[in-house]
Amino acid sequence: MDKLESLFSHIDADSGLLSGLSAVVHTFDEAGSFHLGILEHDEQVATSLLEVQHAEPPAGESDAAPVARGHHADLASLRRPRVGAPKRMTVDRGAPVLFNAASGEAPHAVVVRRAATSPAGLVGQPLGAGAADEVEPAPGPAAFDSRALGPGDIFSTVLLRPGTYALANTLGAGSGIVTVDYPVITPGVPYRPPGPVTIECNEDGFAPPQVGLKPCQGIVVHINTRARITVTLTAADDGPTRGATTAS
Amino acid sequence: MPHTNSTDVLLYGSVNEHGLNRAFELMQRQRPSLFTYATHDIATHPDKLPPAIAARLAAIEAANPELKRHGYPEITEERSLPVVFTGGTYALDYAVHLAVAAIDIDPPSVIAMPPAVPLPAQRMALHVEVLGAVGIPSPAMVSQLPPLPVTDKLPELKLDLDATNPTVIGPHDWATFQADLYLVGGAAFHGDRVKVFYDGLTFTGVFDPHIEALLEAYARLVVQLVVVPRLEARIPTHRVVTPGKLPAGISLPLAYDVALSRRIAPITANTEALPNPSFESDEVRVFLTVTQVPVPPPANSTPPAGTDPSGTDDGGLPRGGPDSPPPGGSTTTDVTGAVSATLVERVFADVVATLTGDFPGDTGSGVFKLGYDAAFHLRNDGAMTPTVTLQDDGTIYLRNLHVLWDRLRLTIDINIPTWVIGGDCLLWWEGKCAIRTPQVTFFGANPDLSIPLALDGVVNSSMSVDVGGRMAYWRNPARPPTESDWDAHVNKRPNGWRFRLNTPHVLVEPIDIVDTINAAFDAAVNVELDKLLKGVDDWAKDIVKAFLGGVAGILKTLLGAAASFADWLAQQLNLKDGFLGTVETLVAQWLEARFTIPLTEDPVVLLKPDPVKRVGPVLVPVSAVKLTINSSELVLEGSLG
Repeated sequence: MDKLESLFSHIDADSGLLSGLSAVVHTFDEAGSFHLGILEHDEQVATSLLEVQHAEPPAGESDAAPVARGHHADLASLRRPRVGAPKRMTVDRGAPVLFNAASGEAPHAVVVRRAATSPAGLVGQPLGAGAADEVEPAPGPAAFDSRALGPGDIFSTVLLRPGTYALANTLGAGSGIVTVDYPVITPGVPYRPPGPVTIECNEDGFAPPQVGLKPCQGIVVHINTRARITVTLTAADDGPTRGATTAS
Repeated sequence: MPHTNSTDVLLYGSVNEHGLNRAFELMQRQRPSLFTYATHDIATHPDKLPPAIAARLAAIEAANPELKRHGYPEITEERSLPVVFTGGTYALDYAVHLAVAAIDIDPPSVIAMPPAVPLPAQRMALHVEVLGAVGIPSPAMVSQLPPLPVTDKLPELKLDLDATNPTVIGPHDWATFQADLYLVGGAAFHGDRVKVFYDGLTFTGVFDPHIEALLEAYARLVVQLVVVPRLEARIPTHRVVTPGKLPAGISLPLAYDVALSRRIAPITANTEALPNPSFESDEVRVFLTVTQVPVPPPANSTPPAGTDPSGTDDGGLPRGGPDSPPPGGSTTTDVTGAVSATLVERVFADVVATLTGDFPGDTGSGVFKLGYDAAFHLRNDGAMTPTVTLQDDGTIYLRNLHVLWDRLRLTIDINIPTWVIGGDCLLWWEGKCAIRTPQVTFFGANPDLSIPLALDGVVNSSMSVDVGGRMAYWRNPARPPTESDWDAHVNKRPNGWRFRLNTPHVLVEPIDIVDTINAAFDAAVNVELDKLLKGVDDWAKDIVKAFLGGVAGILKTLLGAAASFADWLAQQLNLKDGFLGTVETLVAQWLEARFTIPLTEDPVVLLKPDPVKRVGPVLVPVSAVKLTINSSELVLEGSLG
């Protein structure tokens, strides 16, 4: 059961260090070619090409709004693409893009910058393994950095370890407390977690600042200010027979 | 009318005169040296045979070309015929050929018997044609022989058969004679052995009646003093048989003594005792009784005195392989064997008391997969007595077969429902989810758990079996199509006849499972689940178990509407299109496959080959073999030749 062991090894969550069931969501409002850098311990370990394209309206509906089709970018997979797979991804302008690192052991961060040179003629064409390395990032601020989320971004995670967590915005003033209940085994009744709890991360803190979660219930943080969200276990709950222990 | 009864005639065998005549015809054709005798010079130079006998052998060679191809001898070498009063100095060549013209069994129907030896009731007659020739030297040849010493006294009158290296005076011509020998006799079970006797013997032919009378008197003495005692010694009065080769894993320590019945109880309302063997209705009939005896020691040890230790022998014929169309041949019934229903019941009771099985295996597929490792015996007590019944519809019905599982280890594979964490919708767009949180899936394997379960003493099963039997022919695939019967026998790849069960109808009664199995199964699932979650912290195990609803949740998923595992297992085991049906089918297939009993190779070996005498086997083809079953007995019939 290596998969279970791996999953339950992820205790804390950090929007700047994506792992386990943690993810960030960003929407790219401008079309163009972008340089996507994948970081491990703040060091770039891989790059990829991100093409943001104008979304096509549905056929016969030229005036209709573009379909918001979400995209999923697994940083661990982008870092180690399958042999022969292109090191690039294409997303729709205005569509949410979810970044996570589901299949990796080490936490990852992602930084997206405008490409210095647009690889004209390459869009829609398969790229060789080194094609993305030929795209240099343009100078200037990043279009997206998971270590510094901005308004409109989303951070989500599932806290598996029962206990009490400290919630913080390390780039702002916000802090809070999250508690995760210990699971109750009801014979013959399989447990299903409720839907995720949603909170806001504002300039003046979290709203609400205290959240109670059922086992394996997700938490979704809507970002309204510059933020890096961390959730750190402060006291583990080992259940009614084993009591609570303070996390070291 | 049945051939057997329920008291002391439990087995029956008969062969008719047609079958015996055919067997003797084949014996003369395949082993002519048993019927042809000549002196050394003639036997080693068949071109010197008297023309009449040479013609007989030429006819045999034409009918059986294999004789020449194998180089088997056609003549048995004998000492030369001494010239009396020569003190063993001189001898003559001679040759004799015997032909068994016919065998006739009461009532007379085959041989026109001479008035001197009629064929009475309960007797059989033998007609042998005797063709002989003595080599006669020419006077010129005799005159050239060294003279014998002349003494005052004649040499002693004796045949000098033990004279060594006499001078054989070669034939200038043959003095040929032909005669017919008729012999009438019979046999009767007397005391503890079969007594052979004969009622008459006569020669007819070219002899002078006075000489014939002399020869007959002489021959009677020879028959009475020499032939009869040897025949009596060679006829076994009983024989120990064992089940022979059995399927792997099956143990059946049984042995039976098959003996001539000492006293024949009336088979019909007629209270008159019948002879045994019996010579009547053109058949030789033998009535036998069967008694269970201790299992004899292994074959290489000394058998009990007076018994034939060979036991049953399937001749190495295999049990597997498909049936083949039987060969053509005679369709008349020449041989008959019968087994009484009483004997079938007795043997079945013995089998029930002694049969044990020990075998592993697996069955089933899909969601419910079952592996097993089992050992069993059949229940046989006052409350549950298995029975077997021969039925007039040609089937055998086995009832109350109650299998007690001394060891029944099952392995039940369980597929845990897939468990998903995450996958919540993060953003909705016009009623559709635009993006979801990451998710992980567990328990996607099939099966996720394999639960070992010991059901020793927990499960009992009863079954009834309705089955018919048939005789089937088997062609040896290792035998080249052009290989002769002789070569196939010597090379140990003959064809054969075997007994096969028709596809049996098996009915397994619903299986009861005791409730105590529930707790055992819960514990086994918990143990296997903990093994599955090995290396995971306790809090994480509790999360997984909460998602599953604990062991009870797994069982609920597995059991469906069943109230308990015991109920569920009973339901599963008793499904006609599930396990129960599978067991019935498997048992039927097992019975059909395993109870294929090789009976005899074809052709049957009447006389084994003798490497010392350089003679081949005497083989008699068997055809039209069939098996019939009625409420009284099981009857096997076949045709010879």
